[in-house]
Amino acid sequence: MNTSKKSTIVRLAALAAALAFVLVLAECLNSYYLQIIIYIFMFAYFASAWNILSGFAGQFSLGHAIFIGIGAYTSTILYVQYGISPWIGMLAGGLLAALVGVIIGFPCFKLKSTYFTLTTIALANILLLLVQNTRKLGSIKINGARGIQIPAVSGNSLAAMQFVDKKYYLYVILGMLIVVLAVCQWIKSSKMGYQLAAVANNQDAAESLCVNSRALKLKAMAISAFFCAAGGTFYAQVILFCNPARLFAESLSDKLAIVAMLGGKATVFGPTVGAVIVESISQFASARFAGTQGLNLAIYGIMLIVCIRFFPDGILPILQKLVRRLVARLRSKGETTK
Amino acid sequence: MYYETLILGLVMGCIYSATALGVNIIYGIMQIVNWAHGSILMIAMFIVYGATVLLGINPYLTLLIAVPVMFAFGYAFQDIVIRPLYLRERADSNPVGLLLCTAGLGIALENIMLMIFKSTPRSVSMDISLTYISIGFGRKLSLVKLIGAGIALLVFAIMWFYMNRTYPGKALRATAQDREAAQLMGINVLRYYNIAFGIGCALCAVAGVIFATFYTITPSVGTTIGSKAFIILVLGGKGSVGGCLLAGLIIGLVEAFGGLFFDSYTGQMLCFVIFALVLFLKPNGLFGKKV
Amino acid sequence: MSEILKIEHLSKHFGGLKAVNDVNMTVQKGEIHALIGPNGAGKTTLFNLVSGFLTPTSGHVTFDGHDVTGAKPYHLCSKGLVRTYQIVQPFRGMSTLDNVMVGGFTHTNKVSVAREKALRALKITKLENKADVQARSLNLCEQKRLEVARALATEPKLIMLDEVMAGLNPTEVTEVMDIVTGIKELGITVVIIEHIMQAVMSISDNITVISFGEKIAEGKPDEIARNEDVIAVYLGSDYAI
Repeated sequence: MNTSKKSTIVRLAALAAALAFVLVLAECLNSYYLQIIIYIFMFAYFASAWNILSGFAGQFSLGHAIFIGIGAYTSTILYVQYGISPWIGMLAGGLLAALVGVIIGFPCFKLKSTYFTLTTIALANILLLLVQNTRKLGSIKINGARGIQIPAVSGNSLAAMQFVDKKYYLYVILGMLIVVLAVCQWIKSSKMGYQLAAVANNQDAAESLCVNSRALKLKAMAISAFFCAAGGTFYAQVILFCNPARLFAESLSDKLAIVAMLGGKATVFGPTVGAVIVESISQFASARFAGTQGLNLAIYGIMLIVCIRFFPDGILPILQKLVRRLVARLRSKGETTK
Repeated sequence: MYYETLILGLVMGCIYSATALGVNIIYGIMQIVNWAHGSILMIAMFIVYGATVLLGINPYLTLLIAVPVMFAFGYAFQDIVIRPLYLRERADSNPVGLLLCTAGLGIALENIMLMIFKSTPRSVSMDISLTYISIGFGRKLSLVKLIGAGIALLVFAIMWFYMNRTYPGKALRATAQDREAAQLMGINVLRYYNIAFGIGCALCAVAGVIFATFYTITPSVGTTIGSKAFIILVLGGKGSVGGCLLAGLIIGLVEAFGGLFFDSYTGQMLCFVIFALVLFLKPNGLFGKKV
Repeated sequence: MSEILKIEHLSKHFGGLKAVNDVNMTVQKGEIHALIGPNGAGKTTLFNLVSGFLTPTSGHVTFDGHDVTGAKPYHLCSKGLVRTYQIVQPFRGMSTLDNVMVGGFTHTNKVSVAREKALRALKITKLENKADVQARSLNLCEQKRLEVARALATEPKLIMLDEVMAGLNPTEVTEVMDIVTGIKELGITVVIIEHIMQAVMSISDNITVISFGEKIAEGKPDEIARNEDVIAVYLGSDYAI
C-alpha cells in the first residue's frame, strides 16, 4: 500500500515536472516550434480519445474522422453563421458526435471485429462524399469541397478561440489533453475499465460475467466521439478553415490509429508517447525534405509495419521496462555505496 | 440510352469483380483483409506503364512481367511480415494487427510512389485505345474495356478451375475450411498461405493491367479502385468466387445507373450505402455461406 | 429442499437436427447435479440454452422462481446463474486477479469490494499465489480453475460447470473435485457436465443422462449406474455392476 502511494506521488511529480517544462518551453520557443508542439498535443489528444473506443473497448475504428469533422463543422457553422462562440460550438459538436456515435454503434456493435472496422471506413467515406457534394443544407452553408473559411479576429480572443500569440493555443490543447488523460485514467481504474478490457479480450466470456457488452461499447463510443469532436473544433480554430478533404479524410482516421498503436493501445499514456514520436518525425521530415509529396505518409506506413511486426504492444511498455530497469540499477548502486 | 448504360455497367462490373477476386481469395483462405490491395494494384499499373513506355512492349504482354513479380512480392510479404503476426494473433479474438499491417503497407507503397512519380497523371496509349466497336442498337463501346472484361472473365474461369479441379486449389480450400484437419492430411498450411497471398497479389496484377489500358495512372489510383474491391468483398461473401463476380456486376450496374440518373458522385456514394446496408443486414454477404 | 432450476420441455433445433429435444430437468437447491451423456448428446447446447447464449426453439426455463427463457447472459448472471466454458476463455491480456475482478463487479461498482470478492474466489480455487500472473501464462488446470473463480466472484446461487476436469491428470482431477464440493458447502448449487465417471459418481447428488438430445434417465448415482438404458447407450454393455 505504502509503495503504491509512493509511486503515485512520484508519478504526479513527474507529470507536474513535464507540465512545467512544457509551459516554460511555450515562453521560449518561436511560433514555428510552438506550432509543432501544438500539433503533437493535438494528435495525442485525438489518439487518446480514439483509444477509449478502439483500445480500451477493442472496437477498432478506422473512421474517427467522422467525429472530428462533425465537431469542426458544427462549431464553425455556429460561429460563422450565427456568431456563437466556438466554446459553446465545441460542446454542441461533441454532443452531436456522441449522438451520431451511438446511432452508428447501435447496429454496428453486432458485427464481428473486422467487419466493424470496415463499416467505420465505409461510413467515413459516405460522409466525406456527402459533405463534398452538399453546398447548402436548408439555410446552412456547407460549401461542398471548397469548405468554410473562419474569419480571423485580430489579437487574442478567448471568446472566439483565436489567438495571434500561438502559446494560448498550446494552453488550450494542453488543458484538453489533461482532461482526456484524466478521463482515460479514471476509466482504466474503474469498473468500466475492467469490464471494457474483458469485452475487448473475449466478449462471450464477459457476457457470462454480467457484462452488458453492447451498452458498455455504446458508452465508450459516446465518450470517444464526444472528445474527438471537441478536438475537431480546436483543429478548425487552429487552421481557421474547415474543409472535408482535411477533416473527414481517411488518412486522418488512419493517423489516429497509427499514433495510438505505436505508442501502446489500451494504455493511458501510450497515445501521447505515440504522438510525440510520430509528429516529431513527420515534422522533421517535412522540414528537411520540404516539398516532397507523400514523404510523411510513407514514413507512417513503414513505421506502422515495423511497429506491429516488432513491438505489437507499442513503445510505452518498452519505455516502462527501461525505466524500471534503470531505477532498479540506480537503487542497487545506491545500496552498494552505502 | 439505358441499353448502353446496362452494357457499360456489366463490362465495368466484370472488371471490378476481377479486382476484388484477389482480396476475396486472401480473405476466404486466411481471414485477413488485405488493405494494401489497392496499392498493389497501383504498383502493377506502374509496371505496365514502365514496360510499355520504356520498353515498348504491348500492354497485354506485360501480364507476363507483372503477374510473376506481384506473385513473388505477395509470397515474400506473407512469409516475412504476415506469417509471424498471424501465428501470434490467431489466439486473439480481435486480430486487428494484421489489418493495420496491410494498411501500413498500402499507405507506404502509395506514398513512396507519390514521392518518386509525383501526382502527375499518366496513361498508356495503344493503337486500339480510341477504337470503339458496335454493341448493337447503334451503340458503341470502347474496345479496350471489352477486352478487359474478357480477360476478367477468363481469370474467373481459370481461378474457378484452379480452386475446384486441381490439387493445390483443393488444398487451399481445405486449409480455409479447417486448418488443423488440413495439416493432419499432410498439407503444409503455412506454405499454402504464402501461395494464397501470392495468388491474391498476382490477381491484383491482372486487374492492374486491365485498368492500365484505359484508366489514368496516378499513385492514388489504388484508393479509388481498391475501395470498390472491398465493397465487392463484403457484398459477395467471403471465399465465394461466383458471389464475387455477381457482386462486382451489381456494383458496376449501380455505379453506371447512379451516374446516369444522378451524377458520378452519387453513384459512388450509392455503392458505399449498399455496402453499409449489407454489412448491417447480411454480414455474411449476399451470396456468402454462413460460417 | 426446494427447486432452484426447472427446465420444461426445452427444445433446440438447428434446421433438421434436434440438438436438444423436449428435455425436462429439475435441479434442487444446494445439490451437485451432474449432466452426462455421450459426445454430441447436446449437453453443452443445453447449457447454452439455460445460460442465455442460445434461444430455445420451444420450452421454458425457470430459475429461482422467475421465467428466464431467452434472457440475456448478463441478465441471468446478475440474477445468480453463471456458467463456465468447456474450452477455457480467459481474458488473455489481463492478470489472474483482474480476470476474476470482472466477475467481482457484478453487485458492486467499487474496485476495492470487487478485489476482495475476487481474492476470496481465488482462495477457494487455490489460485491465490497466481493473482498477479498474466492469465495467458497459466497452465490448463489453472485456467480451468480461473474459469471457476471468475464465476464464483459473481456470487452466484447456481453455477454451471462445463467439463472443468477434462484434460486434467488424476491429481488435478482430485483437486478440482475438492473445489467443487467446497463450492457446494458454501451453499451454491452446482450443475456439472463431466465425462470422468468416477468423479461424477462420487461427487454428485443427482444425475441426468441425455443421449441424442433426449433425456433417458435421472436419479441418484447408484440408480444411474444400474439403469439398463444408460448402460446400453452410454457406459457400454460391459460396465454392468
